[in-house]
Amino acid sequence: MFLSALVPSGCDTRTDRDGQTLAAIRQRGEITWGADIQGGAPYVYENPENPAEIIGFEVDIMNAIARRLGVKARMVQYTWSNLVPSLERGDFDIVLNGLEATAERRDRLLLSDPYFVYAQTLTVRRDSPYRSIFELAGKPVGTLNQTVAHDILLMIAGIDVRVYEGNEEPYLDLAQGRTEAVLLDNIIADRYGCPNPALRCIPYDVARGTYVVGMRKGDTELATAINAALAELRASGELEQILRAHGLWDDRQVISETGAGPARRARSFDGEMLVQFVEAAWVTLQISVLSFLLAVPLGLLLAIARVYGGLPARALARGYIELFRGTPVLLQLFVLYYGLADYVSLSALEAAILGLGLNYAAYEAEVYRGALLAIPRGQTEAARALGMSSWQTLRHVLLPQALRFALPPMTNDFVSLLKDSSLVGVIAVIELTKRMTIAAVDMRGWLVPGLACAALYMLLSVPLSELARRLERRLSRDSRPHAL
Amino acid sequence: MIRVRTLCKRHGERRVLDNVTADVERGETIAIVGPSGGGKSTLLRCLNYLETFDAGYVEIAGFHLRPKMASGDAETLRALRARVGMVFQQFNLFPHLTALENITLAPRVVRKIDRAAAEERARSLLARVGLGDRVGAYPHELSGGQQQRVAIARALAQDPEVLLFDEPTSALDPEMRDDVMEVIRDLSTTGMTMLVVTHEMQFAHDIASRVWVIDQGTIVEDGPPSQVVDAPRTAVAREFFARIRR
Repeated sequence: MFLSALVPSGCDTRTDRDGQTLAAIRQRGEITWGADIQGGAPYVYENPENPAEIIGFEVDIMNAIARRLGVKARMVQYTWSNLVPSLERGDFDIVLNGLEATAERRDRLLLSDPYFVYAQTLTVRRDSPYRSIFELAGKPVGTLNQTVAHDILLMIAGIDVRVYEGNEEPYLDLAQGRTEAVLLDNIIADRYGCPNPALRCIPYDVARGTYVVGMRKGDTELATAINAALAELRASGELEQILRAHGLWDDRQVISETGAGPARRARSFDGEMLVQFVEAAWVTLQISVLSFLLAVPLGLLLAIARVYGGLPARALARGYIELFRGTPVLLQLFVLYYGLADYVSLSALEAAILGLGLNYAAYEAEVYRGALLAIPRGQTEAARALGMSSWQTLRHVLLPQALRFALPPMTNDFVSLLKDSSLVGVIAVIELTKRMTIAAVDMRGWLVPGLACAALYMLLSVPLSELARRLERRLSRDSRPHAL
Repeated sequence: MIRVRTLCKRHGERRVLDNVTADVERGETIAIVGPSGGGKSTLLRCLNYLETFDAGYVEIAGFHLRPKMASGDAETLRALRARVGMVFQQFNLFPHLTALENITLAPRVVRKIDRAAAEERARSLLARVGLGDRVGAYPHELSGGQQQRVAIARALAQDPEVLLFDEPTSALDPEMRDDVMEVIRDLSTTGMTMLVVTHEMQFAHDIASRVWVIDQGTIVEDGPPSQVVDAPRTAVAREFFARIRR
């Protein structure tokens, strides 16, 4: 669940000359540590019985370390991905929050001895024939974005990696048969995957890694003090006690030697990445166009029901519009993809198109309703007076005129949809924005992937606006702007 | 051709039409005049059921209209409206269609006449109203008078037996009115049955076989122009004509 930290290029690392940090900590009588309660149990989280209290095994370890340093510990809340840059900026003294000891981090920070050994656990369905990640070439395997597990999966050729944002979702999709396996930290697997009766955790660790305390380069005296404190905790059995209390103690904790984890070199924006970006843009375009093709007729139907329908049709259309406009599209996507998974099994792409289509239909409906209401009443009367039926009036007189009114807002909505399609990243679809965030991690910088992503979005939206402009001009021969 | 019997319509407490009874023979041209708000347009719009009425009975071009006709009568009403044309004060041309398309739309979709035949007829109708050269023009490219003439051609394209004109020249500049009135005048000589709501007394006098003066929802005078316009019997009519001539 923990992201490989992003390194802004050209960052300056403060150095602690002559143990100033440790001296300052002792002088203040307080050590500040950065962590993110969003990481949830069992790391650092709000006590469900008393939300004002922050608990977790790392809180206990931190307090034990502080006691041995003779100071108090104070937690500072930061978004996890910002912990390392904030430490470097000097916002707090140390990071103690699921920080994995990787080669890349060792280059950047001073890392303590490990206080916890975790494993990468492979989870499969109970009836699955798979025992090892090496059997999964060509198969979809879920993991969390920007984790060591993600890095491992990317190094195994042919695995179709599906990246998620939350702890629960990878296992839900595995149980649904949308993926064949999930690779994640054993802490997450033990809580979210293994207890599921439909799933089975493979008892052999795919890899092991350690959590360590992160400090600024140069804080060597502080590091020495913290390592001494950790050694005491281990020797006295207090560390074991703490881990046992949180249900985290296992055989892995007595083995101190582990690998440094996979070391991936920073990628550059090469041809291969360009292909990935273009593919992601294609996914974005597909999702946007198909969901709009769903939203337009459905929206039209809703608008017609709302303007001309009887009471039940009006109420139904109104209810639909209020429901889909009044709740976040993100929630709708979650419900569609995960909530209804037991009843309708949709692929991520189908769920994305359906979700955005149903959502945008509500907005389109209001656009068309406004357009229909903007047509003078005399138009309907003239059509009726000529003997045209309701349907003929709608089809030949009202809709063509409504389209002219609706076209500018529709163009607006489509461009907006193009960008909203980035929301479907939450249900494991890799579209343009998701591809950008992944690339940003791989490249250790946001600027180049960000610009590439922006350029591709523009490349999609600008021709579209131009097309709409021409269509608009053709349709509204009689409504050129009047001079003011 | 038209029989109206004890027609009543209310807006809340106000009687918009109060026991209107009248007959129109085939080929007659009726000019309907009277003070604003007297019920002229409402009566006209009841005749093709653009407005409903509360009591009474209308027989027009062989169709029978009763109060509160339900959606089950939609077919009857559509058939009726194809036989009874209407021309509006505001023209109500379809702005997204050319003059030709405005005229061919209803024949094609309502009466399923094929495109070529509908267009041929539309061209001859446009020529008849003096717009043979504006076939491809959109409404916004036409003057008010031209638009109203297209609207008349559009109504004629359905081959109606009765034509209803609801203040056809009121929205026009004076110099444009003559063209439109000329077209209506021509029509009155072809044997078409017409009802024209108008404020143009001279026009009414010239074209009408009979003039109705409507005030407060009733027909207060009904007779040839020489009688009604030149020598009105009721005080209401005298006062109205005096005010108009001033």
